Amino acid sequence: MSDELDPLDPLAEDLFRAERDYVAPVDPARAARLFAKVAETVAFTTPALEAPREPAAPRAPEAPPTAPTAPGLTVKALAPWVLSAFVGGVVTGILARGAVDSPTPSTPLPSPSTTLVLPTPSESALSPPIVPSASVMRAPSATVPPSASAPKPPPQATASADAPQSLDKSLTAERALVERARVALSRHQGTMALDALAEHEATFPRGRLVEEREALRVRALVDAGRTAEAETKARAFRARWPNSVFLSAVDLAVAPR
Amino acid sequence: MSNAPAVEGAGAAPSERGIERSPHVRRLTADDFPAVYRAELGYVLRTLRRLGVREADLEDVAHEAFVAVVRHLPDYDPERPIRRWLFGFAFRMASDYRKRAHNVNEVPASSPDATEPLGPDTALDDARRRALLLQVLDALDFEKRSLIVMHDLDGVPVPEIAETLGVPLNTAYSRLRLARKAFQEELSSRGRRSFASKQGGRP
Repeated sequence: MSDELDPLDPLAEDLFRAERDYVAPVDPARAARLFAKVAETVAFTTPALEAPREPAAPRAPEAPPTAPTAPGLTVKALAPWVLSAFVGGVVTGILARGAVDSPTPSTPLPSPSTTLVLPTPSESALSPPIVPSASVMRAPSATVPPSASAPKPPPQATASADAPQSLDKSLTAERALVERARVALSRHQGTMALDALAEHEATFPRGRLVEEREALRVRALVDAGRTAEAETKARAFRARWPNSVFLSAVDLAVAPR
Repeated sequence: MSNAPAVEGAGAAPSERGIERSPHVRRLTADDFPAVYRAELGYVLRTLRRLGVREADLEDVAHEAFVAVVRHLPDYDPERPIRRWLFGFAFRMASDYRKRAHNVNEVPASSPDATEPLGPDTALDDARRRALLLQVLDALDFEKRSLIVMHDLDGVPVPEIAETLGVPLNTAYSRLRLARKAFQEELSSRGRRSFASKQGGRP
C-alpha cells in the first residue's frame, strides 16, 4: 500500500485479508457447462476446443467450411471489428473517462504464480497482424490504429489489390451484425437479436456468415417465444446444412424441454 | 476433441497464480483459451462477484466476459500480467450488468443475514468476514467499489490505477481515499446499527 493512503482500520483490513486469502473452489460441472457455452458461442472449430456434445445428437464428420474463413475465429477479420464494437459500448461515468486499460507493464501481482506454461510456439497459418494492446474499453474517440511494430501481411497477389481489403471489410461488417445478435441473445433479448439478424439478411443476403446467422435465428426465435417458427427454421437449417458445426446448437434450441 | 479443461480450484489446493510465460513469448490465439480458462476461471468469477454480480447471474455474465476474452486473445500482450487484462473484461461486464434496468437499485444477493451483530469484539470467522465485505461493497457506488477491488483486493498499485483510469496520480489517490472512506463509514455504520438493534432487543 502507498504511504499516501491512510491505513485502514483493523476490521476493514481483516475483511480484505479474508477475501484476498480465499480461493473458492470452482464446481467442475459449472466450469464444464460454462466452457461449453463459451465454445458454442464463439463456434470453435479446432477439434481441441469443441464443446462437449450431447450424446443423443451424434455429430457428422467435420463439415467443409461454407465460407472462406472459419466463422468466429478469423483473427485478422475479427480484431478490428471486435475492438470497435467493444469501444462502442464503453463504460460511462467517471471511470469511463479514462476507461479500463489493458494491463501495463508493472510488477507482478502479489499472489504467487501457477506453473501453467503457455504452449510452445507453433507457426500460425493465420499470422494475424499484431493489434496494439490498447484498451479494449477506451473511449470511442480513441480509434485504435494498426501497431507500428506489427508485421504487415504480404500484399495480396490478386488481380485487384483492393479486393481482399473490401472482402475483409465486408466480413467485418457481417461479423458486427452477427455479433450484435449473439450478444442480444446471450442477454435473452430474442427480439433484438432477430432485428440484427434481419438487418444482416437484408444487407448480406448471400454473405459469408449466412449459416451462422440462420443458426442464431433459430435460437433467437425460441428465446422470443416463437417456437413454431423456430422449429420450421430448424428443419430448414438441417436440410440445408446437414453437417453444420452449428447443428447441435440448433437442435438443442428446439429440443423438447 | 477435448472435454472442458480441469479447472484450478476444483478440488485442488487453492492457489492464486497467473500464467507463467514461456521463453518464447508470442501472441495468444483462440487455441490458448482452454489454458487461460483453466487458470483464470476462478479469478474471473471472484472478480465479477466482488464487482457486484449476483450469484444467480454469475454464469451468464462470466460467459459474456469469456466470449470477449476469446475474441481478444490476440490483443493480449503476454508480457503483462494477465489478470490485469482480464479485470478489464470483468469490469466491463459487471458495469453493463449494473446498468441493466432490472439490476438497478437491487442489492446483490451475495451476502448472508445482515442482522448479524457486529462490533469490535465480534468474533468473525472468515466466511462471515467475506460475507460482510460483500455487504459493505454492495452499499458503494460502482466506481468506489471497483477502486476498492482493484487496490485492496487485487493489489493493483495506485500508479497503475492512475494509468488505467487515465488520470493524474494524485487524482487516483484522491478517488481511492474517498472510496476507502466510504467503505469504512459503511462498515462503521453497520457496526453501530447492529449494536443498537442488539441492545434494543435485550430485556
